[in-house]
This record gives sequence, structure tokens and C-alpha cells, in this order.
Amino acid sequence: MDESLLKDIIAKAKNYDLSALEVLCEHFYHRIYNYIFYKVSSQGDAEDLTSEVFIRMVKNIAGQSGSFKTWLYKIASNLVIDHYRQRSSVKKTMAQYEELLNINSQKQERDAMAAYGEFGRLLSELTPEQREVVTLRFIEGFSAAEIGKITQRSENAVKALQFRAMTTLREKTKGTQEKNVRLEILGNKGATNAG
Amino acid sequence: MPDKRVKNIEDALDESISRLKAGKTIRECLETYPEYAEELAPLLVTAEKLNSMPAEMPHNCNLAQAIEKVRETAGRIGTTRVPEGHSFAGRFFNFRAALGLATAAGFLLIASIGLVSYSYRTIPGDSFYPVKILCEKIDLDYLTAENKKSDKHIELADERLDEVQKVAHSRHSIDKNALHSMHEHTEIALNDVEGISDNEEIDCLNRIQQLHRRQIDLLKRTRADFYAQNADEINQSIQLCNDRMNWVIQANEAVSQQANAGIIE
Repeated sequence: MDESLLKDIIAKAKNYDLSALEVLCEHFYHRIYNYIFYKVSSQGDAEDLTSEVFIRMVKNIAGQSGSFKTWLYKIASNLVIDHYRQRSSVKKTMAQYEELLNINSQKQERDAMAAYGEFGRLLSELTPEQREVVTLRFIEGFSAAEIGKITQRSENAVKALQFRAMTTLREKTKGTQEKNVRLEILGNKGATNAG
Repeated sequence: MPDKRVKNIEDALDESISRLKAGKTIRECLETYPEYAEELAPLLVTAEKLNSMPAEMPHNCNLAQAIEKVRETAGRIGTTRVPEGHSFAGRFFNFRAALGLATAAGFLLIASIGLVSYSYRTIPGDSFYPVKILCEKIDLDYLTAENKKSDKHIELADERLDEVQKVAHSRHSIDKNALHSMHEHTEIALNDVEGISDNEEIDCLNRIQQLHRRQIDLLKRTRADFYAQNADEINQSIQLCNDRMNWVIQANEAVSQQANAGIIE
């Protein structure tokens, strides 16, 4: 969407124009959903939290200032933090049951991410903080300074997380690449022997 | 050009990622930071891979449900739709709102006109008498031309005289405030005479003279009715009216003589 058009729509939405609010919801829904999904790794939770983001957007849009996109992602980021806080308090009481049921949440997380293609599979190799930074940088195109505002970290901390994430990804993809090369060599040898 | 602030590999990587997104090649990025080239190269290859990798969209995300929730929330806050792309229901409710406002404005206007009309028939002591005084003040200050203000004060002095008489008949007392206001308007009318032309001055002085005659006549009748209770106040008022009338007669004669002399010359 054109930037000036988006600005007009945001201005109308600030006056509680229902059509403008709906357009904003349609425009940002998938991006916010993706951002939340890469953080929570659960489709159900991501849907609920995304809806909540837009409810909060409507409630607070009149007082919004600065970059709208950064503001919206900050709402999403705060909601995910609240979601984790809530979940961790529930987990304390549910810990024993989880042990009994032997829930492997990490494996579930990886499976869920894998369903979202190679990008999702790669992201599942990162820590949640690194994953958040990479998602915002490579999918949403935010700068390190903007990511700092959204995630309430310093710009340097964001750059450090980004560096560690890229190093981890490099290590993971390096292994895959080497494996692919080896398979290629073995394939060639097989073909030669057969010939 | 390399940024002077770049101090470590983390900054270099961040800036190189921005350059890759802007369309630069890995080689160009590495040339900018030769001191980090060896370490940066594999990271930039990964970054380029991430850039080119499409992130799949979720399949079952419930946009419709989210929009419905947005509508509900907006409805609770009290939103309005813009005229473009309005539904019939939206236009109908806007029409209803406009009609409601117009009806309320109409009622307000009718009520105001009724109140003002009614207040003109009130006398001192009535609930709406202050409305009458306020309307007179607005009329005098904002709606009457400067050269007509003297006439307006004569009219108001006459109105106060009527009020004094009505109060005397209905409540068997003399309203001091109305009496005082009558003298006040008469005096202002006399003062305003000085600023107008000779012909208008003669007309105005004649009207003030007639006003004084009516005042003296009506006050004498009132004194006859309520002699025992309000003799002093009425006598003082009659005396004041007499004095003023004598002055007006003299002034009228002087102005007439001057006017006649001017015509002869």
C-alpha cells in the first residue's frame, strides 16, 4: 500500500472511521499474525493474540503518535510478553502434570515451525529473542533501531542478537550445505560405478 | 561509503544487511569493511538466503473473525462511517441523526421565540422579567443604529412608565427600580440628542417633551391612587420630569431660533 494512502487511512482511523479501521486490520493482519506465530509457535494462540492486537489498536489509536507500524508491532510484542507471563504462572501449577504427560514442547514448536516452510524451519533453530529479531529484520524490514523500540531493547543489544542469530543460522545451513554436497558426490560415484 | 561510527562486526553486519536489502551485492558490502571481510562473508551469504526465502503465509488465520472483533470494539467506542461506501443502514442512521439535530434546533428556536414574546408582556417581579431586560439590552447595544439610540431610549423610558403603572394597579405599590430606570433612559435620550443634526434634534426634543408630559400625567394619576403610601417618591419623580420638561422646552426654542436664523441668512 502506498505510504501517503496509508497515512490518510491512519488519519481517518484516528477519528474512529470504521472503514479505515477495517482496512488497517486487513493490511496488517497477516504480518502481525506471522510475527506472533514465530514467537508463540501455536496457531490458536497466534490467532487469539492477533485479534487482541487489533482490538487494542482500535481502543488506543486516537492517542497514537510516531510510526504507526512500529506502534502496532509494539502492541503485539507486549501482548506476547503478557501471554508468556500468564503461561509461565499457569505452568508452575501444571508442572507436575506436564512431567507425567512427558510433553516435549520444543519438539512441538519445531514441528509447528516446519509447517511454515524452510524459513520457519530455520527460525526454529534460534532462541525466541533471536527469532524475534530475525523475523522483524528480514520479514518486516524494520531497522535495528525500530526493532529496539518494539522489543524495548537497545539498538546495540538488537545488533548483538542479530549477529548471534546469523552465526547460528550459518552453522545450521553450513551443515546442510555440506551434506547436500556429499550426497551429490556419492550420487555421481554411483552413476560412474553403474556406468 | 562506510559509516564512521562503525566500530565492531555487529554494526558492520547490520549495515551490510541494510545494503543487501537495498540491492547491493555481497562483494560490495565486503569491500566496505575489508577488516571484517573474512567473518562477514559467510554471514552475508546466510542473510542473502534469508532475504530470498519467502515466508509462507498462515493458511487458517481468521481475518474475518478479527475484523468482526474490530467492528464490535469500534461500535462500543462509538465510531461513525465516512460518507463514501456507506451502507443504506449507515446513511439512514446519519439521516436520522441529522433529522434529530434539526428537530432539536427547531424546538430550541420556537421555544426561544416564545420565551422572548412572553417576556415582553412581563412586569417587574415576574419570573421572566430579566429575560425582557436582557433582550432590550441586546437590542439597544447590538441591533440599534447609533442615530436611533435616542429614540430607543425614549421608547424604553415609556415602557418603564407603563410597567410602573401596571405594578401600581396589580400590586398596589410603586416599583422603585422601574421608576429609576425610566429616569435613566430619559436622561440618556437627552444626552444623545446633542450628537444629531438640528432637524433631528428638534424632532427628538419634541418627542422627549411629549414623553415628559405623559410621565407627569400618569405619575399624577398614580399619586392620586396611592397618595398615602408613596407620596414622596412620586412627588420627586414628577418634580424631576417637570424640571426636565422646562429645560427641553427652552432647548427646543433655542434650537428652533437658530434653525430659523440659518434659513433667513
